Amino acid sequence: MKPSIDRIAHWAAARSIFGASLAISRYGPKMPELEPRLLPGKRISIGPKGLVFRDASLLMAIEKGLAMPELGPVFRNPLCALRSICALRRIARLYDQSKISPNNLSALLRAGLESLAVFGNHDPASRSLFCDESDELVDFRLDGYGSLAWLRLCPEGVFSATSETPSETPSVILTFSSPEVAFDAILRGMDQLGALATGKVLLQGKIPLMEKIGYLSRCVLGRVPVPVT
Amino acid sequence: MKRDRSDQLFKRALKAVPGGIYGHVAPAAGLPRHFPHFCDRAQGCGFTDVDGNEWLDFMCGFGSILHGYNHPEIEEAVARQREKGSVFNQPAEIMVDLAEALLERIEFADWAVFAKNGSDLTTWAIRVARESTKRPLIVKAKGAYHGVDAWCDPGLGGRIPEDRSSVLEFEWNDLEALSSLFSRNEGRIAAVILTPYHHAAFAPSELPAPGFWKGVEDLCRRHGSLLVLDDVRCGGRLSEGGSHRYFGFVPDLSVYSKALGNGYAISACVGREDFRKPSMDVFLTGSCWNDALAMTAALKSLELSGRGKVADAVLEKGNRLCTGLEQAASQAGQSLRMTGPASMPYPSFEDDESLFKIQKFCRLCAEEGIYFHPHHNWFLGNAHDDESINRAIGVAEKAMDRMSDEVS
Repeated sequence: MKPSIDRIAHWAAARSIFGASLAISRYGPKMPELEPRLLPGKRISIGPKGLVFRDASLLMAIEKGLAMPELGPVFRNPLCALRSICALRRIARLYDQSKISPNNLSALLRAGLESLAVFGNHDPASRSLFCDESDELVDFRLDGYGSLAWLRLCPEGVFSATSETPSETPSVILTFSSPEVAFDAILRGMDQLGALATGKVLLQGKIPLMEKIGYLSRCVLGRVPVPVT
Repeated sequence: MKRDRSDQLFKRALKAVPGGIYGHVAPAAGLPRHFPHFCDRAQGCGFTDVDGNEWLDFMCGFGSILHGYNHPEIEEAVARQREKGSVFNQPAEIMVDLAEALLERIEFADWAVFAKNGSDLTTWAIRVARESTKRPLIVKAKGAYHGVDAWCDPGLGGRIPEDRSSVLEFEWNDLEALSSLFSRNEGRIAAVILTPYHHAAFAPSELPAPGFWKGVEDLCRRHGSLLVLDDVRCGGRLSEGGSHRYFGFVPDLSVYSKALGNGYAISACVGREDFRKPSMDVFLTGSCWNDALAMTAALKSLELSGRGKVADAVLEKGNRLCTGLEQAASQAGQSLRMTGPASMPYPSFEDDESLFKIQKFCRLCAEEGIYFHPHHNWFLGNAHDDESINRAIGVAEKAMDRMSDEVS
């Protein structure tokens, strides 16, 4: 099921939760994969069972940290719902600036890239930016650590984010000079001209592609909420 | 490379100017930690940055310098005019002199107008075409740069779909596609605007295929559309009489800037008699549009170009540079291709679609004070001499060797 235009931001938020859950499971104690599904009636389910939000409630849950899921699914699968809620709390903690680590950054970045991929795949204006691009891989790195996450643009023009090391050579490498710079850039965006010139980030490879991705990410930042910590 | 002052200035600039430095010279477009952010002074084919580092330059102010930085004859002529003034209520006599000089040199031109930047007049020229034909559509080559206005700029922000709804595109050199655009839009195309050859940024340059320009010219004539030549970047570096001569065709309107003023801000559009009347119906003015200093520089620059056969000279210098660089690459087991005319070559390595190699090459050359841009065509100027070209080739040889030795 593809999201209608008015549900793209909600779907992007749900996918970013999913992306973070996958990334966290790679480095920490396993947590439920919070794979989302679009449901009729402007509802989205998060995770295997038990957690269903109205679109607006999902955004509120992310932004305010508190929103009521539908009670029926919770009562039918209380344990599952509880595990998913705990996982959501754990994801929210990623956004706490006092706990920056490469692993957390990796999960945060994956969350952001999932959002970006949703817009790149489903928002007509965003899609049009990339009509001439295909088969590209963007490697996001942290200086002194290595790759945090990747964004892939497939030959069919479909975006996907991944935390698994790809076999292909990247078309662009964006390297954050420090965890703080990465945290700031992922959550708040960055001065794309100044950051490069001052060495906060290093950009190598297909710069025009990264310019487009950067532009899209700035558009997405304002449309998909992130937890306030 | 020292860069303390450059970095300090950039920090100040970040507060006062969005992004610190913007446009095609923004650090993001080049190699931010390897090129300086600010220049202090320039002379001939070199410049000194604000930290005192000296650079041998192959960008020539992104093409704006043809005769060398701070050329004594041009500066002297400008100084004489400066004593009288620069901008007045009315144009100075020099405007008429400059217009006449252009008409003498450009065989199809019956009139000339002036502004400050290429964009001012590419946009104005397509409006003249619309006024003349009373048609709405403009055709351009995909990826071609014609300026900063919303109908054509390469940026991503600040546009609405309507900005480009009257602009059609075709792939450079694809005459069939152009012909098909004419067929599908019979009687609706006001003009085709093209650069003399395809010099997109971040991609190798493409010369016109045999018969391309003849085909474009024929299609425009047959369908009653204007052929507008955007000679802003190439003007003066391929032929003294305009780049159409180099490629053997005749446009209806042609726009120049960059090298025209040798560092003084001026652009010109020339046109055929048929378009004199419509040109008068399309409003054109600007704050300092009749700047007598820039016009003086342009007139002297044209004189120097004619006297020294400068277009031929820079092509020949470019040939030496390009041949030397390709040979240096080949000897090091690398495959470097210098594309486009030799006076404004674009470098690219084989199997380097993602540009890592060219970025590395330019970074290594920058460490030795050679300013080679990794993503934009370079520019030769008449101030380049054997010594500067040999030095650049020597540095490139070392860089190629290091590239072969190092794993990137």
